[in-house]
Amino acid sequence: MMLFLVLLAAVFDDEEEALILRKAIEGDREAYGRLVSKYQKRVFRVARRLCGSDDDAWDITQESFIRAMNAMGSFDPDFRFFTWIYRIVTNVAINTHRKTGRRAEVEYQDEHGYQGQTVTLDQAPLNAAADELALLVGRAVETLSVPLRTVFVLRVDQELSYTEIAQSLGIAVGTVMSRLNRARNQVRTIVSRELEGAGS
Amino acid sequence: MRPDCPDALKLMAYMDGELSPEEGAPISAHVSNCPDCSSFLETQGALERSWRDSWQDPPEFRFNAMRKKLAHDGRSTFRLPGWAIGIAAGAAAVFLGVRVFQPADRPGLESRIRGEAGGQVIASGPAGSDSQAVLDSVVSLSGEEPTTEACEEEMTELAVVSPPLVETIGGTGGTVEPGPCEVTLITGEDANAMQSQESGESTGDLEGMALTECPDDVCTVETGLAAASYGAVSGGGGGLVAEETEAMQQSSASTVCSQPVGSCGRAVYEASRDEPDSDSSRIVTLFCERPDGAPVSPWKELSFFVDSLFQTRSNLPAMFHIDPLGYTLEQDGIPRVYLGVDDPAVVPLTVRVMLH
Repeated sequence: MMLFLVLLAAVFDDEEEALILRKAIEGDREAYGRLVSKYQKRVFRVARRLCGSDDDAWDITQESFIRAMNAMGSFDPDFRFFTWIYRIVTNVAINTHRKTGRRAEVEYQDEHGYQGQTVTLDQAPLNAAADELALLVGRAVETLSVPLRTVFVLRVDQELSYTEIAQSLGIAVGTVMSRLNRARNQVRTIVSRELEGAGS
Repeated sequence: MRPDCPDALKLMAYMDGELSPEEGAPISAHVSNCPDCSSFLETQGALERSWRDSWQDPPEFRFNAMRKKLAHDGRSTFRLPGWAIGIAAGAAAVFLGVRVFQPADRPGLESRIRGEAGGQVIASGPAGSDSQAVLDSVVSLSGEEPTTEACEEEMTELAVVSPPLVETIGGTGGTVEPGPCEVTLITGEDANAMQSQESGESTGDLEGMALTECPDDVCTVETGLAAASYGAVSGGGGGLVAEETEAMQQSSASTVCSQPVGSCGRAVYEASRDEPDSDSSRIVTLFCERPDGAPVSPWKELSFFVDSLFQTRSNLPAMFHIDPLGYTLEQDGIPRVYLGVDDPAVVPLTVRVMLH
């Protein structure tokens, strides 16, 4: 029964969003405002995860919604809005990153991570406190190159499926998988080293 | 890990729930019997969960502020006076490269802007189904008139950053001399609209636009444009063809600047590009002059978004619209009008014009 209600709510939610989308496409600003309200936190979160700075994240979020509004007339309602807005926000974030170029990126020389190869099995993360772990992961994510970081954020933080990530970024699912694997390996390796360093 | 352990991609896909039941079953069976793999998944899961769960949304008021700013910049508080929009439209026409259309070339065109000197159509486009939306927007846009003091203050302030009157943005294209510019507008469903305008009446869709909204006493507008070919933006790729650039310059010098308008309306401009742009924005500086002889000063900046959205339509004609109503941001006290990209098949490129 509960599952039925959840599914029913999801259907209505989708229908309602489709209606709002249609209105927004036709230029209804109020409808667009509702879309903003619905997605603002997710967009900000992605922006923040990608850029690592609150100020930049707010700028990126606002700019993303402006761009989306600009292009709303050409939005294809057959696609899901959130994959579209994700695409915008990631592009804006990438552009911002290019302009600012503040973050040093570490090219990951992965010995692991590619298909068929082994992975590290360090269990040190399990012994760390969650908040400490989160901090270390956050730092490690910032060292990822933009393509790896983007995929990592969309999967790990936003929990998008591989297909949704591929749609959002305009890349193949296989590319998503390989980037995600590299990103995870790099993050895990860095975190493990940090924890080992702290423990030694 | 053991030789029979699944590779990392498989394990990750399994962890992410990306495998079908058929694919996932053997992995699941393996993991339940393999300490290495189960430990790996446990570690990876803990690591990712900690990061994901550490997120805290900013306080709600921050989002409220952002939405207000969007709305503010979008339509309500930042209301461009008619003369200002005229400047934007006139300059955009130059910047975007106003293409000379003949009515016969574009059957069904409903809105046109004419230069009075030669009665030449300098820009035109379909009114289409978006007319009402455009009109509605203009209504809410107009109505606030800058005071003389405000106007002077703004000019004074901006004079600090005043560039030469002629400036080229980017590396290619020509430049345009600023000159007196008032645009005669023909709009609406038919020529009656124009006749009504000229006789001081308001009919049809014009009535809903700005005839009653535009202030009576506004700055006289002169436009000069610190920009030239749009091709400058991309550093050589795309942009206006030479003929268009030439027409643009001619329009600015003689045709666009013609006679007092006496009413408001809208215009449709087109520009086309052949290649996507890798940059994200360029700025056009506009100029205005008050009738009391105040010097020409830079007035607004138009920031062009030529972004990834455009790149998705590479090699297709693209239309850029100015929408001072919806796409403005205020930065450092200077309103910026953002230009967007529209699919011409869906939404006509629209520039709102309200001149006196």
